[in-house]
Amino acid sequence: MTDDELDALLTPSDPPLDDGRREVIFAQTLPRLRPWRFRRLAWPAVFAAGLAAGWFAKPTPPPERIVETVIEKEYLPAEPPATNEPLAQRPPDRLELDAEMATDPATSALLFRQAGDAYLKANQIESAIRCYRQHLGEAGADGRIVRADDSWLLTSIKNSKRKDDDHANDGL
Amino acid sequence: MTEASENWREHGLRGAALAGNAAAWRTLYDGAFEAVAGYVRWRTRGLADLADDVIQEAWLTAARKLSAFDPDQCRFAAWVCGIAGNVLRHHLRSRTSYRRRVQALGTADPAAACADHKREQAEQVAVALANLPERYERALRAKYFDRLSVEQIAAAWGESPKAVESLLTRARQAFRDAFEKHP
Repeated sequence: MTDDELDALLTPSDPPLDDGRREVIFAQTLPRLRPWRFRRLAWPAVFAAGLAAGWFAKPTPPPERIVETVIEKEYLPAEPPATNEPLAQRPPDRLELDAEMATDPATSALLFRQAGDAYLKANQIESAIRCYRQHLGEAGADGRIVRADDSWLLTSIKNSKRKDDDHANDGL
Repeated sequence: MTEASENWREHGLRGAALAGNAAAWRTLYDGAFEAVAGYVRWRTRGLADLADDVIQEAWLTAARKLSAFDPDQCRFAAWVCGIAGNVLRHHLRSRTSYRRRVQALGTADPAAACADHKREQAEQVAVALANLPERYERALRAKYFDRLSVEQIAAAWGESPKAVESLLTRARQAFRDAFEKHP
């Protein structure tokens, strides 16, 4: 390539762009320019819009449930009365019920015995026998020993029970 | 208008345009349009469709990125010309890869190939200019596009005429090499 050819290649020769095209391009640039005023506020606006949308779209809390709690008072057996507690302070049926509700066999045995004594004092022999039999069942072997403070009915039941146990194997 | 007053003028126009003042943008646009269009036409060397696309895209980019323009660094027209140069380089890359794909299919019509010769030559010039180092491109631009004499270029750049002459010689040779290297 000679210098003249190179000069011909590099020398501008094109006609200038017409004014119509120039105006078209100018009109196209304007919309690109104008949003700049708001561009600085764009991200804060998006953030605020997101917050607002989140605020309005938040799930409404379900209506508060009213729960009525009915507390049924559990019947708790009373503490076993001291041995020197007067029997007349509790009715015999209450003593029997306390004995049935007691979880401790020793307590239950003691309450059955007191219930039997109370029934005997009230001249309810059958109820007294029922309570004494329960007493002997809960007290075990130690409860079958005849004591000085045993009532005549309890002594009789203990003797009868002992005889039954002694002759239980006679026929075999 | 002195350099300092031009600097302040472009600062003011830039600020007003960024604030949405269309008249200020119009002033900047009108003041730089011919320079930018002429530069792009020179770089595209007769490829009217390419020049049109590049001018349009360069101005749209300039409007979008006006906040990045710093009048302390360069004149507005030179800034837009820089954008146009980048846009042109991107377009030429796309066109070159497209042309290679088309050529790989073979030329079916020899007459059409002859008709495209001028177009291809223009594209060769554009690609060669785009591939030149920036200093060489500046020298050729001052000489052929701005039509400055060697003495004028030397005075503007603060260099000796001898150095500018030497630079132009090397720039021409580099262009020649790039032009002939381009398929």
